[in-house]
Amino acid sequence: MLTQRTRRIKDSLFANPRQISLERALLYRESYLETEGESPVMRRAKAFAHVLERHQIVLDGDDLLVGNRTSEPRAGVVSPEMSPYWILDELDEFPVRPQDTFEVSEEDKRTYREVLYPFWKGRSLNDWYTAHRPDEVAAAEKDRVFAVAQTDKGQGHIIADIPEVLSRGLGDVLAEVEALSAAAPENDFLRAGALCVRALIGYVCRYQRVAEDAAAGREPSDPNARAVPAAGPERAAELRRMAEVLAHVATEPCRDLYDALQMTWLLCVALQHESNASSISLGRMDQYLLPYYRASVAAGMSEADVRELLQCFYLKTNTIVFVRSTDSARFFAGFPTGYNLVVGGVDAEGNDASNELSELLLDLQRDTRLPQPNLSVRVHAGSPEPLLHKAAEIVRLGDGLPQCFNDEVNVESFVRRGVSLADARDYAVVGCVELSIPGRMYGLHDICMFNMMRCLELTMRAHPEGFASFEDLEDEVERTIDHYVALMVRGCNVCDEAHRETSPTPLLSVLVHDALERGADITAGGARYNPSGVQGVGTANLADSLYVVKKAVFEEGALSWSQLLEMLGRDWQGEGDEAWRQRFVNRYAKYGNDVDEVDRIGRRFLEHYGEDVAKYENVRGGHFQPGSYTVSAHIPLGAAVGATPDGRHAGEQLADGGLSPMVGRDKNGPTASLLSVSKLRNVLDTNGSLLNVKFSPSTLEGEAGLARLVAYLRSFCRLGIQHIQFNVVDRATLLDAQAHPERHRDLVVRVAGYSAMFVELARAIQDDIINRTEHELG
Amino acid sequence: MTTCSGQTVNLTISSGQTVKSATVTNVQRFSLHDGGGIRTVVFLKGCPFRCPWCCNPENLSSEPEVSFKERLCMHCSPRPGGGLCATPPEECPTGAKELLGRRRSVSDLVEEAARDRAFFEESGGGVTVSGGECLLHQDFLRALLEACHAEGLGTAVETTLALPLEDVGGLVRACDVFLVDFKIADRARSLEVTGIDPDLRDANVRAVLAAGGRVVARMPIIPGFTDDEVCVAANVARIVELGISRADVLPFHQLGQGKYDSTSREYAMRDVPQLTEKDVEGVVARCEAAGLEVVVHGE
Repeated sequence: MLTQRTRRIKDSLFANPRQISLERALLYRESYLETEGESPVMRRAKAFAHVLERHQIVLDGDDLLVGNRTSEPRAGVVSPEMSPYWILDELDEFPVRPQDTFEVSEEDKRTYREVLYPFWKGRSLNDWYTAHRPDEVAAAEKDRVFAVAQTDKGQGHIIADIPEVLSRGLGDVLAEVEALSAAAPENDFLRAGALCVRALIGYVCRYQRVAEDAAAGREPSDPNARAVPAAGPERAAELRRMAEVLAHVATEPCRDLYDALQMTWLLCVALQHESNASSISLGRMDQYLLPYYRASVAAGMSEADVRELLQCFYLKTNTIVFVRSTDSARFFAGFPTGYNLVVGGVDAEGNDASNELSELLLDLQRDTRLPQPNLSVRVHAGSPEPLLHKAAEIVRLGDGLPQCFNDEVNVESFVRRGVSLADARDYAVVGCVELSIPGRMYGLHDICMFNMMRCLELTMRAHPEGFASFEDLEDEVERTIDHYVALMVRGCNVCDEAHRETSPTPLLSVLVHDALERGADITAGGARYNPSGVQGVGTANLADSLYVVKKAVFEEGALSWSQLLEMLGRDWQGEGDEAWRQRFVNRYAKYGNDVDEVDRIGRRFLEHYGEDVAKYENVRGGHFQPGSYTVSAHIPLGAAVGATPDGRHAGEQLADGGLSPMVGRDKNGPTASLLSVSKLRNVLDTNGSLLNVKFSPSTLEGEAGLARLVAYLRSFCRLGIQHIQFNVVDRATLLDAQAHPERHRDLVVRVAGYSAMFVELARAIQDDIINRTEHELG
Repeated sequence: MTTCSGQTVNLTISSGQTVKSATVTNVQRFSLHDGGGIRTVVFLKGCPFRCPWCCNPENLSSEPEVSFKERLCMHCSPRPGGGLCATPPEECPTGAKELLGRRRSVSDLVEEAARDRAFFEESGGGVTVSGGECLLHQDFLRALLEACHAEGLGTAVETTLALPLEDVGGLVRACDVFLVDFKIADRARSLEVTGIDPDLRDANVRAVLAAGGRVVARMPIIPGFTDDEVCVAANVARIVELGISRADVLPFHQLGQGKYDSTSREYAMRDVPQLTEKDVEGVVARCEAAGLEVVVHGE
């Protein structure tokens, strides 16, 4: 249960409409005006330091932790240095767009148009990208097979080495960076890194002084701070404790849970000030918090106090949302900020690593019931029963958390890509479902999605004459995929270079091995591991479509190739077309039903895509690697594809998730759908894949229901599937929430790889979630 | 061939025939209330009994039949006089018209069931043979259960156990658990309403238990038929007396209603409200008082 304090904090998160905040953008510009002519990495470091010195910090009512990115929670921080264009285009749209709305004041609109936009026009990350992007790539993007991401925002999708900061303290980190810098004075990255760490220490001290002022009942001496002075001796004591914690963690190693949670959160906030990016994630928190937790418990901290402090931390992760363009918000709806928090899994030797914190961190969801942190549990053959039981209990709450990852396939997947076994066993999750190595990998995990269904459509349209055999058609689809993959990787590499040339992240780089040793920012290849992750989307629809073509056209001769093309071209609107469409939907087997002949088609193409992308190198000395997830992109990616032989209408969504069967087509229940997915070569998808399963609440009722879910999870583990997540909300509730959003402001649902507030989602995504097959008891 | 007329049940079972195939209506994976764990239920077609509350009416007749779901029909071909169209079920585009009942062989069914092996093993589940009344196909039933065992899959049957058993020892060896119905307790009324002879069932239960079989009693609580105190008390007493230690209490539900419509059958219980867990609390209490382990809905 939330305490009175944390209940108040939770309520305050949603009390006011979200605002667009220009504060960071204005401070950034101020700094850039002063640093003309310096290297990009120094300019970025100085702008970051300026933000940390000057932005408004807040010490609210009775919170136990500090660290705010914006003065009001859940504000949208725009980054015109990344791209000033979409923001200009959408200034008037923010409050009324279909997804992720924000309020913008008229004055801010004017400031943006007159001050920020003119300054960044022509000199943003996006300008670098478009100037260097080859024409063929630009043309290919118009074919809507792929669109390179992160060309207008920070890269994110990474986990810093948080445990090292906690155990060494910022002072020691600073000493190391300064020593390296002194030894290599020409290295701007090291200079910038030292500057950033100093700025961070100063930032922690700003909060400390505000806490001291408030404890003494004074208004803050910091001109850019807002605080509520202590109203009584009890709060004054709390504030003195907070000030003491802050004074300590500013430079020293953490001593206990309070230190560790405070430092972790300030690090999260600082990294957001630097990158303003999605998914700078938390990593394996049950592992690195454990010594601090045990120290606190040993020192007599009560269970209730531990819980309240953790609640404060969880609530903090919901104060930061990430504003995206209208188009991007269709792909990633409902603020997947990506505070992914992993528990469980194996240790460096392969033994179970779970501990008393693993269950506690899952159980906290019972109190907070919010989309962040995005809880994940790593499952392996030796996962202890109580941990899985706890995970099942929390899944049953219906918030879609935790999602489950399978060590049995993910560790091997990393090792096959050259990650050391010990590092592979330490994997965690960024953003939604992207697999990463904490503190050692800069993986561009969300750099691009690739629409395999669009490749099928383009292939079919390019060949009105048809094919001599089904195999010829399959081969030609593969050639189309190869063609666009080659263009996609070039686009991704230009984006990669754009980040290196315009937007280095020196603070983040200091916290990722081996950037210091190499003296290079992670954008310039400083990280130990450097993949680029590109997602192949459309497996289910491709398998379903090709199976229909194989059977109906090539084997049965039920209709001709040109008849089929004509029907698709007119979106099944001709006389008699609907009967054909119905036949294709209902009379031919579909992926997700454990029918080998269909599933094999899905396997063939996802495997082909995966092996194809892995041939390419990126610009940081790493390789491309495949993933397969859609987040909410199956809706816009479907919009790019005309009618297809699986019975889809033009523009209709693709299968959700990434590996999930097409909505409503899996009729054989959740064991069959898991078996279909297990036939894919899941070990290839090192970047992460996503499987949605929806259960009706009645299926999971009682102790027997939990036992079933645990058994289902163990089977998932045995079957070598990478990821699974559950929506456990009944249809009636969702329909009611659509009709009466005001009654369901609290309803958290699984979108894809992350959870979101249901009422904050656009109608199409709400409908999609409602329609995903609900597996009911037999 | 099965025929029913009034209270008399006439069975003509194809005797002496070792057909290893039977008419199967449906193979339902991920079943959760039919014998423990995650299960695959094989529904054999045909039942000599007629319970007015039957929730699987499509399994009453032994013969394949066509079901029709009006709401799925897209009227792609003429329907003279509002009846069914001439399109054969296998060509119906939407699946509105479906053929229920296909000959399936033992090996074919075991292959399908074995696909869910991981789920069975992790959950303590397996294969459950249901119906209809699966004892109408005893040869096939035994062969199917034995083949499942040979594959290492757990087995259960759902049955009235109210038909003469051909090979008790064989059946018991092949079946891990018998889920046996206790419906209308009064023999005369049971014979009149459903055709089930509770005395024959009890004799069979004793034989199964004597052969080392495991039996779970299942008590469907049906308003107007099995929910009165006298019936419940008699069933509980009988279950205890037989030496069964667990009873599943199954509250009346309406999940089968649509199947009456799609197979054009009269349904006498259409307007009877479903029972909730709360409605069967009294039954549960009585069972527990008699020392029985009780699971509502079954597991």
